[in-house]
Amino acid sequence: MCSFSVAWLEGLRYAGKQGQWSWVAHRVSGLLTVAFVTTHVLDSTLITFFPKLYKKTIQLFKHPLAAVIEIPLVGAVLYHAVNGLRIAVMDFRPAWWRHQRRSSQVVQVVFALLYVPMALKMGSGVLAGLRGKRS
Amino acid sequence: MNVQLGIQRFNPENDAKPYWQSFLITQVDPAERVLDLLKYVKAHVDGTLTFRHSCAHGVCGSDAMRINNLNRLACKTLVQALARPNTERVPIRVQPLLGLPVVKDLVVDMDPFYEHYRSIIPFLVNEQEAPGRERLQSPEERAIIDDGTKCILCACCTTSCPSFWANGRYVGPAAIVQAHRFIFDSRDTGAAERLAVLDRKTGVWRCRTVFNCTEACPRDIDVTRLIGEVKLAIAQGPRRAGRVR
Amino acid sequence: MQTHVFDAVIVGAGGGGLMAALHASRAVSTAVISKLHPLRSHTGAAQGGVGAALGNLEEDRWEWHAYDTVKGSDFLADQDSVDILCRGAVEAVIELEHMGLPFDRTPDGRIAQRPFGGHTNNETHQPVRRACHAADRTGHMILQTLYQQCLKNRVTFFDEFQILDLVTVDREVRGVVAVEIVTGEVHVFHSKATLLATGGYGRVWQITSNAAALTGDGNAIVLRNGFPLQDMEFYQFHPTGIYGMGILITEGVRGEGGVLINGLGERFMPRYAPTIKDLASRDVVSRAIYLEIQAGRGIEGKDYVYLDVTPDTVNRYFKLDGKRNPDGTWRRITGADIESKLPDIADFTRTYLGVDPVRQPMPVQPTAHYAMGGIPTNVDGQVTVDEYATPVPGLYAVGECACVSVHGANRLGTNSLNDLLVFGRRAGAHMAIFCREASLQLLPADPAARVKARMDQLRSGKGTVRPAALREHLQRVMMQHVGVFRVEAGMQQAVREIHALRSQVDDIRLDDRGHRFNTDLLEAFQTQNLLDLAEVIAAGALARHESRGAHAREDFPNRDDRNWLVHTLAFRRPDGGTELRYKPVVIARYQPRERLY
Ligand SMILES: Cc1cc2nc3c(=O)[nH]c(=O)nc-3n(C[C@H](O)[C@H](O)[C@H](O)COP(=O)(O)OP(=O)(O)OC[C@H]3O[C@@H](n4cnc5c(N)ncnc54)[C@H](O)[C@@H]3O)c2cc1C
Ligand code: FES
Repeated sequence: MCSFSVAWLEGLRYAGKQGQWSWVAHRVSGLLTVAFVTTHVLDSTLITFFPKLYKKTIQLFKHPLAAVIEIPLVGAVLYHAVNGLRIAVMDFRPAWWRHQRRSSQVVQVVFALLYVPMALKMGSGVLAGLRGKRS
Repeated sequence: MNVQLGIQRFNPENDAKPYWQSFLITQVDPAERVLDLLKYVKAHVDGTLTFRHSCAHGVCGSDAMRINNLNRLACKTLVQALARPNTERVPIRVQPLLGLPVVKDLVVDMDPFYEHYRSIIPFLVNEQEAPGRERLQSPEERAIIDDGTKCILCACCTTSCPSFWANGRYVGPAAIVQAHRFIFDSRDTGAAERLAVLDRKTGVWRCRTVFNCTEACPRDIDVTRLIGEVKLAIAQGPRRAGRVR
Repeated sequence: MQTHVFDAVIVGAGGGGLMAALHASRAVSTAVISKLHPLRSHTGAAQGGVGAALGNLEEDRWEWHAYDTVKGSDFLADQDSVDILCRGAVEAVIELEHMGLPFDRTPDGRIAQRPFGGHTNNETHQPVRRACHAADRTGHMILQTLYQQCLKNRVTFFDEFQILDLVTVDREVRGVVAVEIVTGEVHVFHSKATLLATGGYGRVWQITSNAAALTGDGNAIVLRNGFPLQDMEFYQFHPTGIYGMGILITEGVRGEGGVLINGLGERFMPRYAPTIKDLASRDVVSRAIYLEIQAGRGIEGKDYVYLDVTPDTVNRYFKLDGKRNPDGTWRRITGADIESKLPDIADFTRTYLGVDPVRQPMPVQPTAHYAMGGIPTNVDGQVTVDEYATPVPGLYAVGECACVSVHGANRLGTNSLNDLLVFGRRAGAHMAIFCREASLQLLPADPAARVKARMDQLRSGKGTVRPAALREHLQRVMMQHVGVFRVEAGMQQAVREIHALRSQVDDIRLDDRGHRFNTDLLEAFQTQNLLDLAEVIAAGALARHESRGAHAREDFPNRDDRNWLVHTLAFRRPDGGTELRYKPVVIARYQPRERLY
């Protein structure tokens, strides 16, 4: 056992391989996913209680800045989902531990395949929006 | 070959907190072990340097430490494995294991680690009367527990686990490996009890399949696989999990 | 200073100490003191197997095992003890299996066995499969299993306590003085019975298979307290240590078919042991390797030879030797067999030499390995003090530090692990009976006075000598002059140099003067122990004018049963010198005869 701060500092310096970094990424994306989900739970609550406020919030979400935040958030949710599947598979098929390094790479590739087009689409939407405003 | 050997020093008798000390060692044979370097420093440069060691070939488990930010046995880590191509001077940094209290320099207090080991009922449970000769066990049944029986309890795995760093009450990979060795032993009848211990909050569910333990194990045990088999055994009963391989 | 009281105190937590603890603790209060955590003991390094005539794969009898042991010992073993060992080994191995030891298995589920040096079918004179094994980590599994059982039986452990002295009153032992390594505090353990199981002392030599902790503490302490040591000149050099490092390559490699090859590419053992060749006893093989090297037939003319277990080579020699399986097919091995039966060996040679044993031969040289001599005991582990084997009440020894004597002048492979088990059990049981009848004797006024004085002296010493310098010098001298082959002049020089080194002990200077985990201080004590033992080893060897087992003299090349069929007893004289006396050997069924393999 050691103090929390030492654990973090020294822990992050530990030269773990894909497994460790997938885990760090999973944790971070998990936190972001929580943020993502919480916001949506909150804003959808607004519909029933404060419909006006809800409309304002939605307007806010349409702001380009919000979209810029949304892109990485979607990425986090996506990574968390794909990597979560990997972990579940590992838990059900311990014998596949042999492929653990490759499995992390597969997750990265699948994530990239899904996320890059998505992000591009979202990004271009934002750009289009911006351009539309200017003209 | 030259080695710049950095060692994290700490003697609570004199020091307020840990500090780094560096030794330049020249004319090192690339096939030397990190343990050889530590022994050299202790014998000829600074006798206060303190570390555990005994067998010097990776079977007693005394000299687990963190070398260049990875847990390994000093006696199984050759200088050449740490050298980078085209560098004259090999930088080596040695620290005590993370997650256990430091007693002095590279020596950590292993008691919490042994405590976890003892918690999983680490002995054969079989109260039936033994036959006159050996109990029979097929080579296949024996093969299931082979990996776990290699464990030397050096603590490389447990102290590489982020879950253990975050919460020292987690029994840790080593204890689970030792439990696996009995849970799946065809001669043992204590599986249910052990699985109950490992099903607690401090048990296997703290494993997040990070695989640091598997990468750290100097005995090449598939630690995470064994933990996974124990998880399955808890979820599905020991018999089924034994076949999932 | 703290004082603890137990009926029985056991020093050392290797196989010997733990087996005794298990049996003593069933009846009386027992403490186990060990300078290493029990699981770090060197029993865990034993690889090849434990010998027991189970006959699981072919016919075998404990009497054959006994004869092989006596022959291996070059007839210096006490034959009554050997009978107890070989009969008891069968029972002990079964007991371990019941305790959960994961032995390898035969196809029908019984304990698997492999051939080992010097173990034969006495009728056909061919190697017999007698070594019971758990891959090549048999000792590791024995140590773990015994420790597990001790946990189950709630034995009290004092881990990382190093003993520095005995508490004696009128040559009666009343306990031990130890230091708690982590705090540096002195503790006295007050007991009715004390057992020493402190293991070997390979660290006397430079190239050794022994762990750093094997410094013969128990033996040296006994010697300094006026008790004798027996047969110390008989020290085994194992033929196959990793070149330059001494790490052991088990005889099991040759058991699986491996052969020794010299610089000419020739398999040379048939010239030295025509019948069982590479599986001759260790002294014979070590000498053969030395002679090959001396004759310039080392690999590339250097001081090592090859141990070759690659399937091509092995299968070729199986055919040449006509080796068949019980079903009549040719014996064969594959790369996969090597990986599964010798995984640790493969790992060692890959890690330390970059050699893959499945494809390449391994460079090997003899390495200091096992002490046949030690603290003389009877078959119940009681320490004896003279030519008449008179026991000291309350003092026991087992394992490598003891000398029962079942190994005589040369131990057979697999015969140490069974020695630990058989005599550990007997000593533990005997201690239990002894403690029930004996009463606790009073401690003297300050039992730790001597130890404390020495510690203060070392902590405040103003000398100039580093203990490591003494140790390294000693190891070189012993390697050179009191190794595989010995001659008068060399040994005399060794005696002189050891004497000179001993006189420097008071000039030791320590860097670490603290209390907490002071290994500098403890190593100084260990260095002194090595020096004390080296002195009696060299003295005994110098005096013994013959060659027998592991004691091979160029100037006296033959065995001399008329004058030297005796055990050596070495005493430390009050003036610091060594006094040698001799004790008869117990001969029963087997009369000494020439030893041919
Ligand atoms: C590499 C190797 C391979 C071997 N392979 C085989 C084999 O295949 N078959 C076989 O039969 N034999 C084998 N042997 C021999 C056998 O393993 C040993 O002889 C045997 O294990 C010794 O056991 P032990 O209990 O006497 O001592 P050890 O296991 O050495 O234990 C000594 C104990 O004493 C303690 N101790 C020492 N000094 C002190 C002190 N001052 N204070 C407190 N505690 C102390 C130590 O901490 C340790 O617990 C092998 C030996 C080696 C080195
Ligand atoms: S010293 Fe024994 S494992 Fe390294």
